[in-house]
Amino acid sequence: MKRFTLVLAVLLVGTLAATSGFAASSGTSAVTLAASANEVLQIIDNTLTLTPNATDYANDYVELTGASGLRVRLKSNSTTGVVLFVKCTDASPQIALADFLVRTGTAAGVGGSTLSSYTAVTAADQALWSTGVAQTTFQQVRTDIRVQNLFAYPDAITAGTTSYTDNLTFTAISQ
Amino acid sequence: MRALASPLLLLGAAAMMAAARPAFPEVLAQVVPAKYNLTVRPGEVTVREVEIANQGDAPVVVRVTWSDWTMDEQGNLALEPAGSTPQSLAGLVEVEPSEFSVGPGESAQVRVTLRLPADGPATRWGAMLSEVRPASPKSPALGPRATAQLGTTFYLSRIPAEIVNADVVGMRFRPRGDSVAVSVEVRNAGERHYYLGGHIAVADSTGQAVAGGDLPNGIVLPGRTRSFEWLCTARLAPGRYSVSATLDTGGPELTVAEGKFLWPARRERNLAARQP
Repeated sequence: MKRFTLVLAVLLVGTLAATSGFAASSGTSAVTLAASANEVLQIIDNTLTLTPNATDYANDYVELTGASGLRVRLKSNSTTGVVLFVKCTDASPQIALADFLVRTGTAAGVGGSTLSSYTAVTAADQALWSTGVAQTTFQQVRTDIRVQNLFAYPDAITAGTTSYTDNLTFTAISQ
Repeated sequence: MRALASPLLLLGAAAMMAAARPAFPEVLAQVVPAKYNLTVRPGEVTVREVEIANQGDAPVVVRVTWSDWTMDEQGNLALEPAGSTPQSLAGLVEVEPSEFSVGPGESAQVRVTLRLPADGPATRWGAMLSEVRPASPKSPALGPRATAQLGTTFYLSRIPAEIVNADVVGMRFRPRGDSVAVSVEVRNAGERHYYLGGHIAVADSTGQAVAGGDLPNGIVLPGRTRSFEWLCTARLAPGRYSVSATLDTGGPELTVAEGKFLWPARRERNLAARQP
């Protein structure tokens, strides 16, 4: 049944092609792309470990900045741009939020803004980076991470180091 | 309840430099669409679908929640708890499923059911947030573990999209270094949101065009005023300039507003816009 249908279609196309050889004709065909606003968000660094050294303890903070920071990529075809928020919703953050600071050195997009100075993470969303226009190619946003007040995080009497982890949520949203 | 530990113990436990990139699976997720603009009849039930695609190479778990959001005059968007704003959709929206797993390279649909009552605000808005996290999360020793969350913005209105009530209430010129920031303040006196885009044209005292550019696109929420800014980076000779802002709200007619400024500016000028 399928084979028959295919043959019939080929014959029909052949007839149309032959006809156009005798009588010139033209027409238009409208092709419509129904585009939807969409966003893609990639957390490149799912986890990041900060391991303080003696200097860090002397400074009472440890940080990872620039290319060593936490990397997120996003793109959006929304013509009103996209905002990237950051928050920590842990019920009991292991790293006190007052000790957990973030900022970004990534330049804002056109008409956007950035959180450019260290700010304590909160349980509510804080705008980290934004653009006011469509971001049609991946934009990497690097988040500098600083943990301060290091002596408040003791090392238990067990082998190896003691882990303190907070969960950060990066949210991308368009208006 | 944290105790101060011996510095020697801490130093012994953390002798390495601060830098470590783990080889844990990334999260790479997409939401389609990221925005819904819906016009509905009061009380009518509307159903839409949102697709969450896992483009990563590891399974993920998705958890869907709802959020309100607000916007200030400069267009800065802030997420707020669901049900905290007068125009909230909380209680009027249901999502199904609200928690599910998606394999690598696969996608899943979330069914969103919305209803707008006959009373209350004629337009409501909010965001569906799809939190995407690895199915098998790992923990770092000291530091963050990151999760992706993708938003789909919903606008639900019983006012037809053709009814746009845009008023230009001001035009402001501010020197910014060698440039001039031109701000157009637009008020939405209607009950429905609209998107606004536009173009700025700057002409000298002889009417010769000297600069121009596009205003950023953005939403103007009902009952709110929003400022749209364009930075004129052209080097302007001293003199008087006129500025024409042509605004497109998607309606059948464009709105044109005009203002003037003197350059170099001695102080900030705030002129009421004149609409021809």
